[in-house]
Amino acid sequence: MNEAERPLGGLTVLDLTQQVAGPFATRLLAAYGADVIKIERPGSGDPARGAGPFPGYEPHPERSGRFLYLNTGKQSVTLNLKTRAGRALLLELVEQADALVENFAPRVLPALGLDWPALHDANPALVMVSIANYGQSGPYRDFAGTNLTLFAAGGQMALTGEPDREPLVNGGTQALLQAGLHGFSATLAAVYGARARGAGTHVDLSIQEVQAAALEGAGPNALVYGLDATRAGNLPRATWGIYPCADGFIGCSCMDQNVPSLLTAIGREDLLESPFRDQRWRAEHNDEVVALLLGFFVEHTQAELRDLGARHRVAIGVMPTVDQLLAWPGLLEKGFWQDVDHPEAGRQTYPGAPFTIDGGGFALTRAPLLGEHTERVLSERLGLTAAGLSELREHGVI
Amino acid sequence: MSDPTLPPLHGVRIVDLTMVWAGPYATRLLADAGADVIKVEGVTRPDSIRTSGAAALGNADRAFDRVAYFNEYGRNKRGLALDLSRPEGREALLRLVRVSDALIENFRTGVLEGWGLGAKRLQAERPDLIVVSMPGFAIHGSERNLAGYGPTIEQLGGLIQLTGYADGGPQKSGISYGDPLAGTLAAGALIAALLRRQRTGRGAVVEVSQRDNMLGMIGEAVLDYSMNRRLQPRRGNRHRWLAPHGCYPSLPLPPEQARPLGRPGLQTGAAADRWVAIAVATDAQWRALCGVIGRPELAADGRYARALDRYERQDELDQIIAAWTCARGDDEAMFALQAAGVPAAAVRTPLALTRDPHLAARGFYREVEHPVAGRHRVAGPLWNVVAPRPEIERPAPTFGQHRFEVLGDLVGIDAVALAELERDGIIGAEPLRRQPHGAAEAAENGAATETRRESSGVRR
Repeated sequence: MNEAERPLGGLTVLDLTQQVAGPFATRLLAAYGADVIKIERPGSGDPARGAGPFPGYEPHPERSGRFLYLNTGKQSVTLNLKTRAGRALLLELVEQADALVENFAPRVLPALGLDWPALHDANPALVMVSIANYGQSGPYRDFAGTNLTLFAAGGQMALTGEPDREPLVNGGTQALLQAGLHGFSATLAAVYGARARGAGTHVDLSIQEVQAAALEGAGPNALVYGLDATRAGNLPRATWGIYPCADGFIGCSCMDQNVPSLLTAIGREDLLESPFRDQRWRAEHNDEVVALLLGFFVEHTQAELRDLGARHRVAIGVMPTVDQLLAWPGLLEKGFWQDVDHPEAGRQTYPGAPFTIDGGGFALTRAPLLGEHTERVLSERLGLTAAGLSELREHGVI
Repeated sequence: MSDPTLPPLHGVRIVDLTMVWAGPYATRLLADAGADVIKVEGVTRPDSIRTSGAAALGNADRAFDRVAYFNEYGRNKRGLALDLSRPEGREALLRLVRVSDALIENFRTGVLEGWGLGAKRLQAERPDLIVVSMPGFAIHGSERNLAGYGPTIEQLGGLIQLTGYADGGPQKSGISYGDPLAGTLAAGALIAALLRRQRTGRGAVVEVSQRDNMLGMIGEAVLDYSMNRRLQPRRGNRHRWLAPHGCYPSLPLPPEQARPLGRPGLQTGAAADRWVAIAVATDAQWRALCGVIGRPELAADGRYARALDRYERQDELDQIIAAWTCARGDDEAMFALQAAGVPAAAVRTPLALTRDPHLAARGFYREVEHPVAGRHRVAGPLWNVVAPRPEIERPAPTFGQHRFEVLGDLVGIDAVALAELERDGIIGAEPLRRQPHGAAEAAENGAATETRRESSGVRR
C-alpha cells in the first residue's frame, strides 16, 4: 500500500503529548499513516524516556520500553516552548497542521500563550484535542493524578477486586491507555468534521469521564435506579467468572442465551429442559450452578476446556502469559507481532495492527531518537537554513 | 462551507447491527459525535441487553424499553426491528444500506455471510460503503470460530495475567474490559475509513479484532519480555518503582447512609466501605504527604527520603498512611492531599460518581425524556467540543420505534408495503416469538450459539 493509500495519509498531527495517554493516541495516528511531529523538550524530552523497562534494567533515554512502544512512527523535534522563538516556530507548524494533540496539565499551554484562541487564530481549520486527568474545567481541574488515582476517580477500581479485599487497579496503565484510545478516535472525528466544514474545534477529553462512561450496566443502574455496585471478584455469578481447572485457571463467560451451549459442552444435555435454563432460578441457586461447573472444570485441563469451548462456541477463555502470546498460533498466522530495529534499543517485538482496512493500512516504524528530526522538519516545512538552525541551537530553542 | 457549529459527523449515516456492549458503545460514540445511527435489531431477536434487563423488571409494560443499561448506550440513535432471516427483511436492509455511509456489526463470524449479507454483497448495493466488523479474534483463519465476550478478551489478550493481588492469581476487571476498548477503537477505525473515502472515494472493509486491540494495551509488558525475557509480576496496587502507592481504607459511611447494592429486582444488600487511592510520585510529594498526615518527622527521616528507600519499606508506610486514612472520609483525605499537591482520589463507586461535584460542575450527566422509561439521566458525550457543547439529541429508541420514518421517509418503501411487512412480522414494534427451528436462530449475536452458516438459509 503506497503512502497515499494509507488510511490517514496526508494528515499532519502536531504531537505535544508525553507519558502515556497522549502518546498512545498519536501512536495509532502514526501507525495508520498520519505524519506525526512530536515536540519534545530539548535535553530531556518526554519523561517516558526515563520510565523503562530498559534492556538489562539499565536506564537510557533511548531504550525505555514505555517510550519505544508509545512513540513508534513519529518524528521527534526538540523545541523549547518557554522561549519566544520556540513558540513562534510552533505556531508556524500549527499553520500547516490538521490537528494538535496535547496532554499537558490544563494550566500549562495557556500560561505559555498557546491556548486554543491563539492556536485557532494561527490556523482556523486546526483541530485541538486536549487530554487531561479531569478535563479542562471544573473544581478538580488542577488535581494531580496518576494511573492509580485516575482509575479510582473514574469508577472502574471500585468494581475491580475481591469483595473481602481492597479495590484493585488492573494491570499496566489502563486508565491512561483508555483515554489515549479515545484520543485517537476523537481526533479523527474532529478532523473529519473540520474538513467537511472548514472550521476547527477544541476537544476536551477527560480521563475520569472516559472511565465513568464505561461502567457497563453499573453506570446506568446507579444513574437511573440509585443502585450501586461493588467489586464482585472473580466469580460475579456462576456463568460469568473465573474457575480453577485441572492445570490452572479458566474463564467462563456465558449470557443467558449461551447456557444451552454451555450445558451441552459439559455433557449435561439432560439439564436442557431443567430449571438450569432459567436465568432467575440460576440467580437464586448460584451455589448449585457453581458446584456443577466447578466439578466439571477441575477435572479438565485448560487445553481440553479451550477445545470444548471452540467446538460448542462457548466463551471459555484460557489465560496466556506474554511469552505464550508471542508463540500463539492465531497471532502468528496473521503476522500480528512486529519486529522493529532501533539503533539504541536493538531489535524488539511490538504488538501489531489492532484493526485493518481492506486487510492492511497499519505500518510500524521505530520510535525516534530525541530531536532526530528537528533539522529536517524545520528546514523542509518552515524553510529554515543551516545558519538559522545553528543560531536556534545556540540560543537553546531547539 | 456548511454550518461550523454542526457536530463533526453530521451527515454521516451508519447502519448499526451491533448488540450487547462493545458495538453499541462504538455507535454511541459515533451518534454522540453527530452521526445518524440507525440501530437494527432482530424482530425476533432484540438486543440481549433488553431481554436480560427486562427479565428483572418483571411485568412492567414494555419492560424491554425500560432497561437503563440499554437506554444509556442507545441514546442519540434511531431504531428499527427487522427479521433478517427472511428475504423481505434482507431486502429492506439492503435498501437502507443504499442510503447509508457505513454498516457496523458484531455478529459471530459468518452470520451475515450466511444471510447473503457479506461485505461484497453490501458493497454491490453501495460501492463506497464502509463495513466494520468486530470479531473477538479474527474473521479468517484458525480463530474465526472462537467465541468471546469482554472478559474472554482480557483473558486471551494477556491483560488478566498482569492484574491481581501480589499474592494471588489473575484477577478479572470489574467491567467487561474488552468491550468499551473495542468499541472506542471501532469508532475510530470507521472514521479513519471515512477519511480515506473523503480522499479517494473508496469504501472499505474494516476488521477490528477485539483481542488484538487488547494486546495493544499491554505493549509495555511485551517490550519488557522482548528485552529481558521477563514476565511482569502481578503487583496489586503497587507500582514498579514508586512508593507509597496503594488503596487505603477510609472511614466507612454511617449505616443509614450505606449505598444500596444491586439492580432492579435483585437488591443485594448495602455497602458502607470507602477507600482512597494515593500515589506518591516524587520525593517532594512524600514530604508534603508527611505534613498532611501529621507526621512531619518522617519527612526528615533519611530512611524514607528517596523512592528506593520507600519502595523497600512500603509495608511500613502503608500502615502509617492507613492509620491516617482510616480516621476520615475518602473526600476529606483526597482534598487534604490534593491541596498539598499529592496525587490522591476517593475510590468513586458508580453511585458516588453520580453525585461527584466535579462531574456535576462539568455538566457530565444529562437528562433525556424517554417515551416509555420517562425522564432519566445518562452520561454525557466524551468527545466534548468546548463550544458549542454537544447535547443529547434524543433518548434511546424504543423497540422498532423508527421503522416507518426510516424505511418509509428515508428509504422510500411505500405505506402499503410497510403495512405488509408489519403484518408478516418482518418489521414490528414488539419482539416476536421465534419460529421453532427457524433461520431466525441465526440472528443470535455475541459469543455462543448453535447457529451454523449452513443452517442460516432455511426459511420458515
